[in-house]
Amino acid sequence: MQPERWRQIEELFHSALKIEENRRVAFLEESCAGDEDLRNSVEALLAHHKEAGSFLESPALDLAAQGPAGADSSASQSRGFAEAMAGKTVSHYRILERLGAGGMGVVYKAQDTKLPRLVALKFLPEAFVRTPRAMERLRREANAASALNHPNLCVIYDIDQFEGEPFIVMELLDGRNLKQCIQGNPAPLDKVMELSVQIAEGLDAAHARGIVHRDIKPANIFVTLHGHAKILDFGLAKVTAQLANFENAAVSAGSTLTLQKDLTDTGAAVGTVAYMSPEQVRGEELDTRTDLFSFGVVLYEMATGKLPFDGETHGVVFNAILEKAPVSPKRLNPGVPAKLEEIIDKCLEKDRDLRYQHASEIRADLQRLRRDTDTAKVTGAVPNRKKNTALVWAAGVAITALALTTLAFLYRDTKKPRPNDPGKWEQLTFFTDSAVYPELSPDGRMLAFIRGKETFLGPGQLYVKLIPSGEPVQLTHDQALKLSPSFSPDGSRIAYGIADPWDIWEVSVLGGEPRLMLRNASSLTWIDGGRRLLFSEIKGGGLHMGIVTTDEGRGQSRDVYLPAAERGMAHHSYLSPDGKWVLLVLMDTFGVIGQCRLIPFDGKGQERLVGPDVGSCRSAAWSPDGKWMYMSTNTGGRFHIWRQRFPNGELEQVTGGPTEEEGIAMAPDGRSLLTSVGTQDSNVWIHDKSGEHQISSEGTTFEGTFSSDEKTFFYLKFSGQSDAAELWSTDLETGRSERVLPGYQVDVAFEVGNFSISRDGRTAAFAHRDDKGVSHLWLASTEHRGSPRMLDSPVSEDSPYFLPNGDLIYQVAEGGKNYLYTRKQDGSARRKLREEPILGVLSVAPDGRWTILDERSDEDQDGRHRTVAYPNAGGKAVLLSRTFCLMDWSLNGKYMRLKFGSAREADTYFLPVRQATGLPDVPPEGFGGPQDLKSVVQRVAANHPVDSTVTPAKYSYTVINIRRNIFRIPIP
Amino acid sequence: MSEPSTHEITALLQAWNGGDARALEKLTPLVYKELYRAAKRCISHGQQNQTLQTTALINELYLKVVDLKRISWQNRAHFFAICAKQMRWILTDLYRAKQYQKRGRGVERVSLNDSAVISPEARRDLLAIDEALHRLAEVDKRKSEVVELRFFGGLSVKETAEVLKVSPETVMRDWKLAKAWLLSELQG
Repeated sequence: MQPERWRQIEELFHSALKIEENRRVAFLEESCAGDEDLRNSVEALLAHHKEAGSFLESPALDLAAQGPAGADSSASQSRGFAEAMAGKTVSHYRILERLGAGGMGVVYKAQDTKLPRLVALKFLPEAFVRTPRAMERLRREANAASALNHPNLCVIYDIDQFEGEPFIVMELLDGRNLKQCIQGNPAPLDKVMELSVQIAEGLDAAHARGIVHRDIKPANIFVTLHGHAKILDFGLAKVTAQLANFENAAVSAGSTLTLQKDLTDTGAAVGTVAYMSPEQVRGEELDTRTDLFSFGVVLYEMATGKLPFDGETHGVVFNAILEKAPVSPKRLNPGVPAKLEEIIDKCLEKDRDLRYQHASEIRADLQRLRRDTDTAKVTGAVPNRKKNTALVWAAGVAITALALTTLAFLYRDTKKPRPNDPGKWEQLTFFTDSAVYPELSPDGRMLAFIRGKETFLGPGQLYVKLIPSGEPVQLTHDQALKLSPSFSPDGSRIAYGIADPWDIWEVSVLGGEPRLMLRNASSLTWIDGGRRLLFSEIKGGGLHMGIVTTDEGRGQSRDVYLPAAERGMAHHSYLSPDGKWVLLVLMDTFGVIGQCRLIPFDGKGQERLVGPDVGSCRSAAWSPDGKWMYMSTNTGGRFHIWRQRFPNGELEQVTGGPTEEEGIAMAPDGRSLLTSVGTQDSNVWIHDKSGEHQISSEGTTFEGTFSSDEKTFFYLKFSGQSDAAELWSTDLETGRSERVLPGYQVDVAFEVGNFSISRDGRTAAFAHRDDKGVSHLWLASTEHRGSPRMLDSPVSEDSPYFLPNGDLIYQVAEGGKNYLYTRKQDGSARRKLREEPILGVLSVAPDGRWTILDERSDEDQDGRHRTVAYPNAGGKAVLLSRTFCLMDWSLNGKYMRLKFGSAREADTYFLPVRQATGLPDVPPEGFGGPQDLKSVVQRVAANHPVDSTVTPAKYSYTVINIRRNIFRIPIP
Repeated sequence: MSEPSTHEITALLQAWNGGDARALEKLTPLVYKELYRAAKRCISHGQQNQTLQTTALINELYLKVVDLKRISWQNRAHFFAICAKQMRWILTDLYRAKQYQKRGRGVERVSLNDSAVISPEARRDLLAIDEALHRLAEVDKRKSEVVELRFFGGLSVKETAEVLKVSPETVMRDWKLAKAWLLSELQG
C-alpha cells in the first residue's frame, strides 16, 4: 500500500462527502484528472458509505446479546437507501422486499404490475451512468444479453432507470449462489458434474451469440432449489468493469512489479480477482476463452474447496495466475477422478490457444466423464468432505448449525431424575435410523412423521402410519429439507414445510404427487375449524420470519407476531384450544432458540416467556383442556418434555434421563402424547489383522486405550447421569470386563486425555471436579488396591498423562489461560513446565521426550489453533501442524497417528516416526492438512475415529450410533 | 465478578501506573477473564432483555478495580483500549465456539453457551468483520484502532479520541472512511 495514494483517496472521500451528491461526479472528474483508478476507489467508497447506514454502529457485544426481545435498531445493518425502497413502485414494478446486496448493487424482489410475474430488480451504483453515453452503452449490452434465453442463464427482461438509478429487471430465482454453496468445502462429485455440465451449457449458449461474460465466479452462478445452475449478469461485466474492480487496471504486460504495487493499493477483496484469466490480468483484449479459464477456476474450487491461485494480495494472486501451476486437485481431494483433473487443467492453460476453445468441448468431456463414472459407480461421497456438506448443498446454510446440538447431547445431561417411567412408554416406530416430528390425525388414529436425523430441519421423507401397528408408508421422495407435518381438519391431507425457500406442500395421506400449497410459508396449522390457517411467513429481508393468520385462500391476512430483531424467526406456532393464545418457538438473530413465548392471538394481552428459564424450546403443544402448556426444552444437555400450568403456573419436568425427547403430538383425549425419543450409544472396537472386534456391547463407551503390555484394554463408559463416566477394563485374553474404580467418576471434558494409564498398567490418572467446580487430579490403583486419592491444588488441574518414570504431565488453569505443569505422584515437585500458555494437552511420547500441545497460533493474530511438540526437557517447541491436529504415538513409539480437524469428521493417518527425533518428518512450516503428508503408512476413513494405536495394523476406535423413534408417553 | 481477581487487577494497574511495564502483561489475561464472564452473562441473558451495554460492562469492571484517584487519565484510556482488544478476542472466540465446544478446550474450558445454536451466518458476519479489520490495519492502523475501540470496545467518539490522542473530529472522519472501506471489503 502506498501511503500517499491512500491519503489521496481519503482526502477526496471526505471532500466529496462535503458537497452535494449531484455535484460529486463533476468534482471527482476534475479532482482525479484522468486517474481512473483513484476515481474508482473513491467512488466505490462513496457508494459503500451511502449503504453503510447503521453498519457497525452498535457495539459487537450488544449485537451478540440481542435476543428477539431486544427491540432496538442495531440489527438493521447496512440498509439506508434500501430501506426506503420497500413498498415503492418503480416503473411498473412494485418492490416487495430486498433480497441482498453485492458489489454490483442492491437486488429487490418485485411484482411486475403489467404481467403476472415476480421479478428481481438489480439497482446498479449510480456511478454506472455518469453520462448519457454510459447509460446507452449499458442499455445496449443488457439488450444483447436479454436476447439470451437459455435454462442455464438468468434471463434479463428489461433495463430502466428510476430517479436516476439504473436497474435491470431479471428472472427471480430461488436458491443460493455457488459461493455460498462451496464455502471452502469440496462439493460431492455428482453435484460437481451435474452443475458444471449446466454451466458449460449456459456459457456455450451465450458464447454462440458472441457475448463474453468476463466475470465468471461462484458469486455469479446461482444454484436453484431444484439444483439448476444459472449464470447471472451475462454481458454486464464489460460495462461495469470500470467500477467493478481492476479489470482495466492499467498494467503493462508481464510487469508483475508494477502490478503488485497498483493492486495492493486498491480496495476490493482478493477473492474477486482469483477468477481472472491471464489475458485479463495483462489487460489484453478478451474473447470467449477468458470465460473458459474462469470456469476452470470455478470447477477447481468446486472439486477441492480451494482456489487454484490464491494469496494475501492481488499481486500475489496475479503472479500465480500468470506464472504458477496450481496444486493438483487430486492432492487436495483424492476423490477427484483423473479425467476431471485433465479437464480442469485444460481449462486453466495459461495460453488461450492451448486451452479448450469452446464451452461445448468442455461440456462434452464432462458428460463423457459423468457417463463413465456413473457406470463405474464411482459417484457419491468425495472422501474428505465435511459432515454437513450434503445439507449445505441441498439448500439452507443457516440451518446446519443446528446439528451442533448433538455434541451437547454427547457430553452433557440434566441432573433431574426422570419423573416419567419409561417402562410405560409405547414404541410406535422401529427404525434403525431416525423418525422425528410426530403429528397425529384429528381422530388420533394416524401418525405422520418425518424420517430423517435432524430434529429441527433437515433432509428426510414424510411418512404416515396407522397406529399402533400399521406399516409405515412413505409419501415423499425428494431431497428437500422438511419440517412440521400437519393434518388437514378432515385428516385426508398432510401439509408439511420445506425450507429455503420456505414453502408449504401438501400430499394426500393415501399417497400421490405432493403439490405446492403456499409459497413463503412454514409450519402451517389449520385453525378455527379449518376455516383459517396459522403459519410462519418471511417478512422483508431474508431471515425475518413472523406468524400470520389468513383464510384458506391466503386472503384476510393478519400479522399475529413479528420478532423485533431483523433476523429473528418465529418458527413454530401452537394455538391454544380456546383460540386465544399462541405458543411460539423463536430463533434470535444469531440462530439461538430460546424459551418459548406465550402471546395473545388477537394482540390484546400480555406476552410472556414460558417454560424453564434457561431453556432452548423447540416444540410445544397444549393439553386439550388448555390448562397445560407442553414444551420440549433443552436446559443445557438434552431435550426433555416439560409442562407448565397456563398461563404462568407451576413447571414440571415430564421426561428426563439419558434419552432425549423432541416434538410433541398430543392425543385427542389428552391422556398421552407422542414424541420422538432419541437414544445414543457408542462402542469401543479393536481392529487387528484378524478383523474388527467389538469390546463393549452395551451403554455408551468411548476413548479406549491399550495397556503397555497390550493385554488389558481400558475405556470410559457414560454413567447416564452427568458429564462423567466410569473407567472400565477388559482383559483381552479372557474377555472379562469390569469396573476399574467402582463408585468413582471420571470427568469427561475433552476429546482425548480424559484419563491415562501408567506404563506399568497399575495406576490410572483422571480429573474430577469438586463441589466448587474446581477440577483436581486423582490417582487410583487399577487393581483395586486402596482408595483413589486426590492431588490437592488451589486451581483447576486436569488432562493428566503419565511420563515413563511415573510423573504426571497435565494442564493447569491460571489467570484465564491453561499452562503445562508436571508433578510427582505423591503431589510433590509441582512446577510449570512451559512459560507460554496452551490450549490443551493432546498426548505424551512413550519415551517421555515430547508432549503434543494444542495452542493458539499467534497471540496477536487471528488466534487459530495449531499443534506443536514441546520438549519435556525444556526448549523450543516444534511446529507440527498449522491447524488443530490430534496426534499420538503408537505404543512402541514407531508410528504417529494424526487426525486434522476434530471429532468424527476427519480421517486418521499413520506416519513413521524417525528414531533420532522421536517425531515424524514434518516440513519446517508444519502440516497444513492431509495434503501435506508425504509418508503415510495407512489411512483410516473418518467413520472410525481411532482412539489408540499399537501399530498401524492394530488400533482401537469408537463406533457411535444415534437413533430416534416415536413413542407414546402416558401423561400423569 | 470474583473479588480476588478484581483486587489483583487493581494492584496490577497501580503497579503499572507506578512504572512497572510487566504488570500490563499480567493484567491483560485477567481483564480477558473478567470480561469473558461478563460477556457470557450478558449474552446468555440477552434474550431476557437484560442486555448490558459493552461500555457499561467495561465501566463496571473499571469502577470495580480502580481507585479513580490513583489512576491517571492516560491509564484509564489505556485500560479501555485493552478492554476493547480483549472484547474483540472474546467475541471472535465466541463465534469460533463451535470448535471449542467440539473439543471441550479453550481458555479454562469455558464455552460461552453450551446449548447455543449460533447460525453460521452470524458467525461469518462477525469473523468477516474481524478479518477485514486485520486487512484495514495493514492499510491504515489508526482507522482499524478506531473500529476496534468503537465496535468491539463500545467506546464513544470522545472516549476513542482520548485513547488515540486525536481530536473527536478525526475519529469521526476515520470512522466514516473505515466503515465504507470495511463494507466494500465485506461485499466485494
